Amino acid sequence: MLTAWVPVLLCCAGLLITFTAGLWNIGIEGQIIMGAIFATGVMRAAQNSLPPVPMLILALLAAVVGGGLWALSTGVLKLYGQVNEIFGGLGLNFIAGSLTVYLVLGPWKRPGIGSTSGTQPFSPSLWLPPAIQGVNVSLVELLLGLAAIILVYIALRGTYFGLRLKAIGKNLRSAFLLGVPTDRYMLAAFVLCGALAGMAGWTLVAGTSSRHQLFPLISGGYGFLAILVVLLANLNALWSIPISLFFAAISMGSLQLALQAQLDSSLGGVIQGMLVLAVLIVGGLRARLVARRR
Amino acid sequence: MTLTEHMALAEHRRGFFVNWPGAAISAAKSIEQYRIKGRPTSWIEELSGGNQQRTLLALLPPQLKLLLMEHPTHGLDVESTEYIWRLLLERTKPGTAIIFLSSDLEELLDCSDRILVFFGGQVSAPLDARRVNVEQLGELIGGKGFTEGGAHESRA
Amino acid sequence: MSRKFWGVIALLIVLSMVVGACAPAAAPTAVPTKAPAAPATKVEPTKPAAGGEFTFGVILVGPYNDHGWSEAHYAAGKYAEAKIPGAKMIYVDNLNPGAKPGVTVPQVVDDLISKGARLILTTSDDFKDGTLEAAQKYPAVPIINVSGDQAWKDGKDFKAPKNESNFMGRMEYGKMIAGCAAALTTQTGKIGYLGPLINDETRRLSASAFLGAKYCWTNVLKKDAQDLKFKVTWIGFWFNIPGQTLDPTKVADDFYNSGYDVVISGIDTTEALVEAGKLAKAGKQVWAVQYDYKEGCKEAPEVCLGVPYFNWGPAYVKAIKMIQDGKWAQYWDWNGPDWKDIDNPDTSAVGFVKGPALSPDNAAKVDQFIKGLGDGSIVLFKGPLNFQDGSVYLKDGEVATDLQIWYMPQLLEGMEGPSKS
Repeated sequence: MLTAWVPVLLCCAGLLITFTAGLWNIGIEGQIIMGAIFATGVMRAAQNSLPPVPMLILALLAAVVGGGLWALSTGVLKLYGQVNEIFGGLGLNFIAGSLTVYLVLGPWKRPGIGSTSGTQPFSPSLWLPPAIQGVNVSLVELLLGLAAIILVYIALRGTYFGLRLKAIGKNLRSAFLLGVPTDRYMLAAFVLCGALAGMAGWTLVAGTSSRHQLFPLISGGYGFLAILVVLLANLNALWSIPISLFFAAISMGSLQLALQAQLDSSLGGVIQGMLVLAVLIVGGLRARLVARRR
Repeated sequence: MTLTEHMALAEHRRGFFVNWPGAAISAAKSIEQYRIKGRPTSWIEELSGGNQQRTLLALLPPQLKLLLMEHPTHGLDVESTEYIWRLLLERTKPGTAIIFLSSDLEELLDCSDRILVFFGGQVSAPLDARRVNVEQLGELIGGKGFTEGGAHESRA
Repeated sequence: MSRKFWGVIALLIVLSMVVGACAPAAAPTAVPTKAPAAPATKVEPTKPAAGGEFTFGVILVGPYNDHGWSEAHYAAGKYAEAKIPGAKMIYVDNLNPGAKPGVTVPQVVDDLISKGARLILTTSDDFKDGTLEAAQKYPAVPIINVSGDQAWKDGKDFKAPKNESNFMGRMEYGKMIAGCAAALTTQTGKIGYLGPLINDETRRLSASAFLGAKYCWTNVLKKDAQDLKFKVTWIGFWFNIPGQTLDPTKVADDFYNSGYDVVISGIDTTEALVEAGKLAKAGKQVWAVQYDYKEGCKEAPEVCLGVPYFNWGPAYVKAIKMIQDGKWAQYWDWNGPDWKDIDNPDTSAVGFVKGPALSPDNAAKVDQFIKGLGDGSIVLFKGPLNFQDGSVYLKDGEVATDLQIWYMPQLLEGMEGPSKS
């Protein structure tokens, strides 16, 4: 259950930033994937030349760069190419996904094997050790996830950066008139979100209970899940901590569901789908209530 | 966003963290000075049009050379209109020039020093607001005095 | 006020969903997949089953009812339950990144062991790495990776700890029979092979199908080997994962639309057969050979030439008995068919069910072919055989060893399609 939590938490932290700026960063899945690709690239390139700790740190930095650059592309497409970030993001997700398939089947394939199943797993020295024996998440991952969300919480509430992003999200034109350099701030929002998504990608290749390899679909829908969490939390950073934990539990819990009750494990997906609907319905009701109050 | 948030945004010069207590105090000050009917924690979208306009004025930087406005009192009640103009004219004392656009003739005559009339792609010569009356202005707006394809002949 | 309101509502939904999520677990009524005999109350977690009960865990890569590879394993689990009193299967299916992102083999093994499993079977080549990780984590729990070679002392990748074993069926024979049936039936002389991913196993199985086809084409039909086309298209995984693999439905379609009138399936699922059925209804003369599961022909019997299948049941029973008798020792089994009766459910690891679309005449020829394989008069992995690139695989008269067959580095001369990705 904790396995899925950290990547979702990191994505939530990133999405809080873009949502605050009024941006729909649907491209977050691709940003996770690019983070994972960059991290894998570094770990493959330096496999024998660096000790584990600097290697993992370097991979984390690479993942941040990878996710950040991918998000920056979405932003540049939006601001200078007039491509809505939703469509740009979807396109970039697709490209990132295809890139993993290409890498896994091509340059990074396992010797003699042509399977999309994944790259050669990393040596166990590059697996983050579990926080406590028997727990399938490492201290590093947990701290990273919680620190990210708390820092974002502070940044959005307490800093001029957060205030300006909020102004952009509420009213782009007014924010501009009040002297906010809107283009630069929107790009910054994308890059920060991408960087956090890249970190999530890093946890998916280096994490305690990851598969320790790059494989297609590595993003696992965590980015989309995080979008749901953040919307459900009404853009509240602190609320998104328990809500993301709950969602991670559902996505992992469907395993238990199958074991306990021999129910089809795709039921987990059904429950998630129902939640999405519930969010939409409550969102609609809320809008009506607000309208009536006016 | 709330009035305090707007004040913080407008007043920001440098620094990283927002000084929320300070912003709340200056919001309260502006509310009093501009007689805004609201509290520092009020949402701007919950205020009436007049109060939103007053807030806008409060958000303007204090020392300006030139202030451009379009229909500054459009849709406001009489009291708000008067009050906003008092504040605006106040601003001209330290030397701020105001150029505004309006279709309210009384407002034009009462508040400005010089008036320009636009008609059919042409511009009139500057009129001294104290020496024009509503009728003359109305005629100009109707196109009287503008020659076909030529410039307006000044009567002044 | 609206923010608080919104937060409270969100919390309420979350809570209601928690309740919703728990409810089915508490009252598992109307569960179609469960054997009626199994009681609603489950084995107590963490406590190993007492008395004669023996719980074993099975991890499936696809859905338990895929009419292919995974269902064959599910059926084997049921077989073991029936054969060994007190044996009980718990399973997790669909363990692949498309269906269960983020869930890994070691995690599932954790869960199965906490539910009392005393033997774990991981039933995919894709679980190789995960099985090794889990076996190292639980040195006291016997774990079997089906189709793997890490417990093969003479193999090239021997690195499994003592508690990990492997078994596999000699599907080479099944594929040879499949190839023969295809060659006897094809009108165009073009046979397509719907391949999964490329590795040693899939290379040797497609090569086996090719050898069977070539034998029956030249020795039974007395046709020229040059006129037989045999093409392999790999989709990239054991079954379709949208976005990750080629779409097997489309690959099968492409085969049928470019003159390949028989497609032999090498993947876990039934797309080739289903597509053949659709095209046959539209008036096209096409056939397919299914794979993996005994009842695989059911999807479209009218175009099914047959199905080479795995009968894993006896291997499951053997593993459980070893543990029950306290005689567990690492092993690597490559179980062949029982040539006396390749369809004997208690003795034969691989079989072939002839499909309704195979003509009686050809069925008789296939039976002859099977007889020849069984009595040793037909040996197909025998030189002279060349690899696809023209280099020598087996010299004239040389018979391949298990190592040479298992680790097939390339496709054979005469086969079209990539040997590597």
